[in-house]
Parts: sequence; C-alpha cells; structure tokens
Amino acid sequence: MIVALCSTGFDDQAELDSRFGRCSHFLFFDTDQRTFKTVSNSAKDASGGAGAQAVQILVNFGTGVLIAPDVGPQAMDALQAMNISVFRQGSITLPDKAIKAWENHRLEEQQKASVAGMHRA
Amino acid sequence: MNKIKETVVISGKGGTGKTSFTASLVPFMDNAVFADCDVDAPNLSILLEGETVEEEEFSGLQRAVHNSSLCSGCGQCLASCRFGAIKGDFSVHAPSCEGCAVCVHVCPENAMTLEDAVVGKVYESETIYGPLVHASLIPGEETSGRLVSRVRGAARELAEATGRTGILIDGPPGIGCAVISSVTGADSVCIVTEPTLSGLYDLKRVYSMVLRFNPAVFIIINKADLSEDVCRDIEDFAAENGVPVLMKIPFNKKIVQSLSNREIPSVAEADFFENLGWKKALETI
Amino acid sequence: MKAAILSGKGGTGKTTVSTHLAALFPDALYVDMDVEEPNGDLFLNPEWNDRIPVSVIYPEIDNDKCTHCRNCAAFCRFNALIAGKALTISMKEICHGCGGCALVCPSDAIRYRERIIGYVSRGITRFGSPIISGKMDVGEFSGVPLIDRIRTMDRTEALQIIDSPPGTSCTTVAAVEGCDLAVIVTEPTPFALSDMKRTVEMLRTMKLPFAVVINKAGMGDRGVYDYCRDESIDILGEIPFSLELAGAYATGVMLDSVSPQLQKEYRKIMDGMKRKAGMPGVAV
Repeated sequence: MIVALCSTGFDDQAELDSRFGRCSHFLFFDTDQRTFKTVSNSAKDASGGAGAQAVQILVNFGTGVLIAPDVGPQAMDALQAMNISVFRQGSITLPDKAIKAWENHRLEEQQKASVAGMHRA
Repeated sequence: MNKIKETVVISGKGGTGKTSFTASLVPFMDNAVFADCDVDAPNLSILLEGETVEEEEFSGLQRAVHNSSLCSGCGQCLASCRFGAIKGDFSVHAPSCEGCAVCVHVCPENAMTLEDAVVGKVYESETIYGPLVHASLIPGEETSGRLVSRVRGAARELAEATGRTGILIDGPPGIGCAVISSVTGADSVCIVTEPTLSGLYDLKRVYSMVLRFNPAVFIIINKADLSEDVCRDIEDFAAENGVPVLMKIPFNKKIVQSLSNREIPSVAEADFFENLGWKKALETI
Repeated sequence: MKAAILSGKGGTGKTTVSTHLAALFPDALYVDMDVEEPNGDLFLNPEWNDRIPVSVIYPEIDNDKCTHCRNCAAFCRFNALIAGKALTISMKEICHGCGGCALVCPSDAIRYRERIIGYVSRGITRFGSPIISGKMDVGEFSGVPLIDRIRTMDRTEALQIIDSPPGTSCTTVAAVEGCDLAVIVTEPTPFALSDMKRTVEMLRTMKLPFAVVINKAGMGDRGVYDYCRDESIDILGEIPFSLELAGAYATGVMLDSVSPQLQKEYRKIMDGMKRKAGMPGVAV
C-alpha cells in the first residue's frame, strides 16, 4: 500500500504542507518496504486545475491512502472516484508521526470536502 | 516554517470602498506583505506609493499561432475550434483562443503551434509599510484568475523568503474566477459592502461563494448612513449567518478628500476611525 | 445604436446611468451583461417572460469502452481528466469544453453532456421597455458563455443600452464587442481616473468610439477633467454628487424622485451618444 503525504521539502524530515494541490512535494510511503520516496509536485505551479493534476500524480504512483490538509470538493470527488481514501493530518507536522497516527487509526477520515478548491483559473 | 496568515478584502459590488479599507489596514499591519489582486483595476499602489524593485512579464497561458506558409487551407482547424477563435483566413483571433490545442491536433500540415502569450506584468514594490506585490493585466486580456494566483504566489514566496507572518490582499470585485482565485485557501475574508440594494444583493452572492472556502468572514458596512433600512437588512443578514459586522463607517466627505490627496484614510482621518472602534476592529482581524 | 455603458472602476454609477437612460427612453432595450453582479433589475423591476438556461459541455467517460490509454488526460491542457490504470474520470467544472479529449480517444469512450452555468431572462421593465439580463450561477468561473448567448439573441431594437461588466477583462471585451459606441461612467477620484485610463486603452485597441459621463461630480478632484481635456475625450454630461441621490439609489428609487434638471442632463447624454454614433440627436 502506498500512503501519500503533502510535504514542504524534499526529504521525510520536512514538515507537512498545509496545502494539498499546491503543496511543495509529495511524499510516498510504502507500507511494505517501510520506505519514503519524495516527488516534487509539478501541479504546484499549474495555472489552473492544480488539485486535479495533483490527484493524477497520486494515481500515477499507485496511491491508496492520502494524508492531507483539508481537500477541496472537486479534488475530493476525484480522489473518491479513484478509490483513494483521505485522512486529515490535523495538527501533526512531521511525516513519521502522521504515518504512525494513521497506522494506529488515530486520523479522521475525510468523507466530504470542507474547502472548495480553485480549479479553473 | 511559520504559518503565514492571509487576509483578503473583497466586496462583490465594485466601488464600496474595498481598496480604501485595505489601504487603511496597511499601516497597522506589522511584518506583512501586501498584494493587490484587483488586477483589472489595481489601485492600492496609488495610495502606498512605492518604488518598483522588480518586474516580470506574466504569460498565464498559451495560444495558437497560425503559420500561413505551411497552411494548405483545409479548414479543419476552423471546423474543430469550439471557441470561434479561428478566423476565415485561418489566422487566430487571440482573445478568443483558450489554448486548448485542438487546432494543433487536427492540422495535417503542422501549421498551428501553441506559444506563450504575455497577458500582464507582475511588480514588486517597496513601500514604507512593507513590500507590495501588484500586477496589471493588459486591458482586454482574459485569465485574470491566473494572474491573481501568480500575485498571491509571489506574495507568499516573498513572505516566506523574508520571514513575514501576514499577507494582506486587496481582492477583485465580482464573484467569478478572479475572486475565487484570490479567496481560495485564505484564512480570513473581509467583505466591504454598502447599504444599497445592489450592495446587499451582491453581498449575498459573494458571501455564498466565500462560504465554500471556510475562512473566517467579517462584514464592513461602508457609507453606513446611506440608507438606514438597507443597513438594517445587511445587519440582519449578517446576524442570520453568524457573521460579525466589524465596523460601520458612515459617509464622510473627508474620506473622499483624503483619497483625492492620495492619503490613506485611516491615517489622514485618524480621529474619525478611532471613534468607530478602529483599534478593536484591527485586533479582531 | 448599440451603446456599451462601461466603468473601469466598479461603483462609479454605470448601472445608475444605464437604468436611467433605459427609463427615459422606453423604446431602448436594456441589456444587463454584468452577469456576475447583474443589478439593473433592482431598479427597473421587470416582469420576466422568458428564462433561458445557458449550458456548457463536459466529457463523460464510458469506462466499459475506455482502454485507459491516457491519451485524453495527456491531451487536456486544463487537467480536466484523470486517468488511472483501471478508471478514467473527468472534472466537469474544470473542463473548458474544447472537445479535444473525444478527438484523441481511440475507443470512442467519450460523450459530451451539458451543465447549466446561468440563465438569460427577457422581460418588460416597469417603464414598459424591453430588458434582457444574464445572471451567472454563484460558484461558476466565467460569464463569457452567458454574454455570448445574449449576443446571439434576436435583438431588433434600434436603440440598445448594454450595461457592461466593470474592469477591462475578457467579459468586458465580450460585452463591448459589436457595439457602435462606448460610454465610460467615471467619477472625479484618482482611483477612477487610473482605472478609466485602462478602459480607454482597451477601447482604443478595439477602435470603438467612446465618450465619458462624470458621475458624483463636485466631489474629489479635477484629475479626470484634465485627462479628458488632454486626450480630447468628450464629456457628455455630469451627474452631480448629492447624498440625497445616493440615498435614493440605495433603496432602488430612481426616476420617480429625479429632478427635471437631472432628467435634462440624461437627455443631453443620450443626445451626445447618438451624435457620437453618427445619428440624429434627441431633443434635450
């Protein structure tokens, strides 16, 4: 299973980003290998549809679970359609803490959008 | 990285005093970056009078360009374009082109290509109150939403790079793409309205747009004495929706005069603002 | 004559001038193209006869036919399609409706559906004059399809007053295109002057004749007057600033409370507009 996180930097020590579509990097955690992989978020500078493009990146990396800040309604619809579960990172700031919290079922699952995303610029 | 707090001032209806209110906040914001996202009518820099330290061209999109020497005149581009952007001679009517690349795809002669289109400029100015990021859209250009995103992005980068903790944004009027781009993900939104039927009507529309984004919302009633009845309607609307009315600013010719003198109202007419509970309003925001 | 009433800066009184002209010349068609914030009906109190939905298209993917080749997602410049290994979906609000995804789909899996983004209404104002008004749904991004719809509507009236969106963006251009004349409603303040200069630049690029009406005259400064003189721009009329007028506007009261003097000023403005468009003037 691949778990994606929104990161402000390029390694697994960097803090989590408070944005989803326009976060700096995505961090992919492989639950079998227990390893992290970082990818720069090319959707960050998209002029429009950043959320959708970000979902496409997650799909490309075979993501099953996303741990994120609040996700907008359209990205949320897309994530649900692509069978990616979304969990709120809440006040957690470090990736390994977020993973641990998720593994211990301490993260709240986001079912519905709580923020609208900017889609078409 | 410390959390940067973004505050956006919008209005729905134009001319309610959005920019005057934003400018009035400026001298009281410590350690902030200012951004003028009203790229269609950028006026914050008139009052803040800064010096431009950086300037960049903004190309928010690509557009089709027709090469007549390769064109065989088959007309497939014209038939396929859904935006009416291909003229009779197969050249491109730039304002209509959305850069979708359908013409590039259907052209058998490679006579259509997409090229970056410059639609505006982004400026960074130094003012006595702090840095100001502003922009101008080439008149008649679209994609103001994208330019707004760029201005916000530049303000954020600047705030991150210089360790500033707040961003104050003068937003655009209306409820369309430019406003949505300026409000997305902001921490708090101030809606400056006026007690006129149009002001109230547009307030309701812009409020229901803003609601989708979950920020803290405040209402400022400017020219509050224009109509007691409509003012009460606005206050009722605010109460029903649990939105605090931050300030009621009566009409004052001196404010108009201070703007004509290019002075910031809250500084030029400090006593007037003081009596309206300015300090408390600032603390709340 | 199709006359676009514009303002660079919002709130200068574009709708006030448009609606008063519509009320004083009831043979004129009033068209509200300020589709994000259409306010003309608040003053003209029309009775609507017709309400036409305006739609845009978006793709729907038949995942039984889809082979997940990802061509559509790769083609889409707006990131409106997301392609996975076993599922491809579209994001209808992001779609610009270019039709490209169906063109590149090798398995005929894409069909287009429509969704409504607003309405165009037709009616008769309380002054007996015809009105067309476009209103974009809240949450939509672009009013251009609504403006385009209004522009293709059957409009035979000899005199048309187009209440246009503020600013100088794509919706303003769409509203002004095809007009014979533009009138910029401005006010004597530095903000309004700065914004008006941009509008002038836009109109000059579009090669459209234009003139100016100064609203809220008497307050502010002389900057707008100096600019018009230097640029040889005609000032068709001036509406004086008065708190009384502002108060009347606030509650939607118009002509009924407008003085004969002000009515005369509006007739003078219409006279100037017609002459500017090369037509015989009107009695003032």
